[in-house]
Amino acid sequence: MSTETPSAPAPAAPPAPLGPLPKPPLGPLPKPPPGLMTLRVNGKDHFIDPRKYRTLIEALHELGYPIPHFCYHPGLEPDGNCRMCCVNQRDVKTGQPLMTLNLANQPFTSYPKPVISCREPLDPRGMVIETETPEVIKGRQWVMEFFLINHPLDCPVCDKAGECALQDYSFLHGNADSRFQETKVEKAPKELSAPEQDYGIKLWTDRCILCSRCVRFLTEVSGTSELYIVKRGDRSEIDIAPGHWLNNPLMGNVVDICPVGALLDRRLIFTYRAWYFRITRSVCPACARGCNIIVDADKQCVRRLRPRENRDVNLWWMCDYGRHDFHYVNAKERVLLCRVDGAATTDIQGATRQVGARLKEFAQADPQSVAGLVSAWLTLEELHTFRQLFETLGSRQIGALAQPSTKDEVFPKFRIEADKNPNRAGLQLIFGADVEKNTAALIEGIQAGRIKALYLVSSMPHYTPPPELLEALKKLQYLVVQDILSGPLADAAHALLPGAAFAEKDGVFVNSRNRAQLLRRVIDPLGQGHDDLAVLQRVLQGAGAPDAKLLSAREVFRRMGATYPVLAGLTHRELGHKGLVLGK
Amino acid sequence: MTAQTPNPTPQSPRKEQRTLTWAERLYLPEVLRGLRNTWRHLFRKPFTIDYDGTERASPLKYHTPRPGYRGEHYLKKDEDGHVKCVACFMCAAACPAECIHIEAAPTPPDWKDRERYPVRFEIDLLRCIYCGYCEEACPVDAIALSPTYNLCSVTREEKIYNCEKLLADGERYGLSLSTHRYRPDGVPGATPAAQGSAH
Ligand code: SF4
Ligand code: SF4
Ligand code: SF4
Ligand code: FES
Repeated sequence: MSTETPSAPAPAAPPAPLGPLPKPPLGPLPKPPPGLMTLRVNGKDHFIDPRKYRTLIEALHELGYPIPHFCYHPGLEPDGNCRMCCVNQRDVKTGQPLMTLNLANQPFTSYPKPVISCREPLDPRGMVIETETPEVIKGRQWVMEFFLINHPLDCPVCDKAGECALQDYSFLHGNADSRFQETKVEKAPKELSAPEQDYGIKLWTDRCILCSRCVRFLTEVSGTSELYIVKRGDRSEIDIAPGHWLNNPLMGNVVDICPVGALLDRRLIFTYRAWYFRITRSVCPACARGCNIIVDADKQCVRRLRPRENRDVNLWWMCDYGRHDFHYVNAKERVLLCRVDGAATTDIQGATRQVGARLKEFAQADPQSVAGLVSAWLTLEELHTFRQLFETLGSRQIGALAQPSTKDEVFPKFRIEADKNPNRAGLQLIFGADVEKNTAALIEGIQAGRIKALYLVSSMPHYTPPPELLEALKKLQYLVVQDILSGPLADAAHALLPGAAFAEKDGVFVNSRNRAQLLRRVIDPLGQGHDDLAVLQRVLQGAGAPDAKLLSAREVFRRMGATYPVLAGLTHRELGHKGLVLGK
Repeated sequence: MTAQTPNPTPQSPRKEQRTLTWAERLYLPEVLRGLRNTWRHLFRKPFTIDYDGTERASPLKYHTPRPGYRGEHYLKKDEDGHVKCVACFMCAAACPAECIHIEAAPTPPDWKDRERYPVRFEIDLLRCIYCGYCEEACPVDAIALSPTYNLCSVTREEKIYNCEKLLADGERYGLSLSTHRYRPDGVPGATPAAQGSAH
């Protein structure tokens, strides 16, 4: 490795000769059904559609053969540089292993040629593959040995430990001792994002195995191409052009796809250990796309969001706005207590009962003097319960609040939506398409004194209420606010109820393409153990709905099929981890 | 009272019933016989020791545990006087009692040799079962169980040891750089030569 160290050449032991390769005890490949091909893996025949897979490794993975790999990523173009994924291929006719070119023209001294399964296209005439022969395993061990030559092996201080591909494969195919005697090439860590920026990516250069996934991601998916590989041989490293910084709203993904701990998120450095995480599949609430995510929580604290594959929604990626938008869940400003009659209380049952009764009083005087404002951050179940509440009160005065839209950000293989509300489509499903336009009329009604009581359920973490709304709220005789963070809305309230953040509730969001997706509870609701749905159901009880019960989101959703034909027959279980397009 | 008769039949283990004699019913001779024993031991050398757990002066007043005894923990320092721990959480992961609480942070800029250290390191010794797994798990040999025998305290708070206390303990025992597990003669930190060879 290190060329300038004239170390005494220890007599290198010749590589152990590979034994004679056994002939596969198999006859000719069976003829596949039309359109398919025969793939014989470790003696077992599979019929697969070669057009469905880009390369051999994808077929093998789908058939359940765990081929180790570093540089291959299903969302990126195959590169084939790490050689971890090699498998043996045999000649279909003779059953002999494919041989390397025998340049010296000596009979039978060549080695069987392993094929790089992440680059090898499927041959529609049939293929014979072996994935676990001694030569294949030996090959993986050699690859691992080379990777570990210059790797610092600092797992104890590395944040990737516990979820690192190099660690896993080292466990499977590594050696306990290194035969490497020279000194390792040292490479200093470097900042890839501007140091003054509070969020960025840091590169631990010596941990990098040069799989080039990050380079390919930034070229293919974000199209920004900030990173590239400089220098040669064992001195190669990932670098960024001087004076430039890694700074795009998709860069967090390179941390996820880096198979080792070379690229790390500066905000999260040293704050977690992967093995403490409780993993929950959920949906990102930060925009209308609804990227499928995994929420990593440690005890009752959300620590990290990362994308989860869904080829119909977000592929393998998510944007950094969503990725970092969870700190409000455990923020100090959370509304945790109820406030009624000017006093904070933990008695949420009493508070909700009182709120329900007061709203009913107003409704009995004049049903249209009670109005409701919901937000596009509530789940279908919560919106439905809200609708039930207003049906009970007899009022049709319902408006909706939503986060203002920004601009679409378009990348070659990703698009960040302008609409920053996770459930606008769901809102329109429950209350009709005009519900947001209603808000102006409501504000007018309040100003004119026609509306005396208002129940406002926001649970939006970043919402800045427009001044005309705040102005109007002062005119109300009775304002109930249910929100997650204290702010101008909570301050204006006569009765304040705690809301729940996305990590505290189960429910369904409908994304901008009409796909219903499941939001899952990760931590217990902080507001007196009640999430929005439970609070709404209790208010509904307080308002005297005859058959109001406390139901789980799952049960509410199941019953919603009776009201909304498009949801008929759907259950949470049926939506599954990837969701379903409604009305299809 | 009576000499126990050897009982060949395990089915009837009860002793034979017998009425006491008049002298026996007086109890006084028996009481005096017992007191004689008491008086005899009053003037003998005591079996117990006056243990206060702080003095090493008199071997009589201190219990020296056998080598390998696992008492309170301590943390070691490196050559620069910094805590050796790198906040890797291996001990916390290995601990079956889940009593180690660590918070990691980047090191201050003048610590040149590493980038991660524990800003908070607490062991709840009330929950600890003194299994020594933390010591086995530590990749940098930063934590160890000392041969400290007296584990008592007056309040509960005292038994939650933080980083400073654990480091000070290490110094107090003269153990801050060594590892008592491998000491050859059972005396903590006695042979500096043995320290390097252990790891
Ligand atoms: S930094 Fe990570 S993703 Fe990028 S080349 Fe190195 S190992 Fe691969
Ligand atoms: S001795 Fe055992 S129980 Fe005590 S802190 Fe160490 S690992 Fe935990
Ligand atoms: S195992 Fe050792 S280095 Fe790691 S946190 Fe525990 S004491 Fe510190
Ligand atoms: S995964 Fe195939 S060569 Fe890297």
